[in-house]
Amino acid sequence: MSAAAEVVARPFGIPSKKLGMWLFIVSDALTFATLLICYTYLRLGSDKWPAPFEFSPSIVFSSVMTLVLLTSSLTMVAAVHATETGKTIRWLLATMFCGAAFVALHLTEWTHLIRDMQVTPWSNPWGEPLFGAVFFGITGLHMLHVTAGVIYLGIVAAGFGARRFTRDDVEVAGLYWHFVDLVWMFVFPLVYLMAVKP
Amino acid sequence: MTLFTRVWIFLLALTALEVFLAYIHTPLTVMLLALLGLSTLKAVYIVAYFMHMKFEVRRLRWLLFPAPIVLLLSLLALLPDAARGQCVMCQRTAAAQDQARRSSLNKAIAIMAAPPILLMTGILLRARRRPTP
Repeated sequence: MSAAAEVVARPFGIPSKKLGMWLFIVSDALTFATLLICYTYLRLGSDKWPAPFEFSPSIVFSSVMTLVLLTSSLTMVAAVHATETGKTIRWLLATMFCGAAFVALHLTEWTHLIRDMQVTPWSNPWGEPLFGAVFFGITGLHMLHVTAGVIYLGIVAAGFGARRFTRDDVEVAGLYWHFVDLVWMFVFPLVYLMAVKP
Repeated sequence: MTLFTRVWIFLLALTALEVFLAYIHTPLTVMLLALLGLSTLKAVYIVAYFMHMKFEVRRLRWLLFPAPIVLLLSLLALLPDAARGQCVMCQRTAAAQDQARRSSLNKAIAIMAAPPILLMTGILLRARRRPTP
């Protein structure tokens, strides 16, 4: 293929699957940006916004969740780089394990909020029902993305093992996974750290 | 130590800094801006290194980033007002109106929302009718 034909086939220098994932990521980023900014306005607009997150367990849990998710990004990078040496599936499983650990920790944290602190999407003891709505809305949508990501990585790992999927497919799955990590980098400070118990 | 491990350690350090910031007493808006700044820095590193954007062609960046940036800037345009408590005032003023004024406010919102929704619907219908070759 000549250089000119190459430019026409790949106008953005990447395979079309990867371009498709990038476009999905941008549109998903707009969804999360809108939700988080909506939350920020509500947070600033309220003079009695609740601060229910004590250092232990909530902030410790959410900090560990940040560590777990950042580490899962590193293992995902390792999975993409290991496609030549054949350790990809092992690294993908490590990434899925981190994702599952994140969801488990987050559900524990949710249970603590719902059971011990009576926070639900409709009401809470501080008389600011919107707190529960935005908290469970934003973290719930993010948790849904992590859960979907773990399933997606499982499908890619199985397909890569069966040689139905190639290095490109692993890389595209990696893009999605890093994006989920990126979103949490905004959810953690804005939702948790902005509501630390003083 | 690979480049990616170094980026990972840097991101962890920024996270620790954010947690520390949450516990020193600063005005709410200062803390919000500091956290937003640090988070944006982390996002840039994730996109540049983990998502390989640093190593892609420039044309791809021009394709992907203008829309989020314009959206963020326009959504954040009223943030200074909100930080000064204007949102609360505005909301209370609207809530204190009588029934007739409130319904005219709602009508105004519907009228303002109609053009962009119609525009989007039109674009979607056209896109459906004309599949790319």
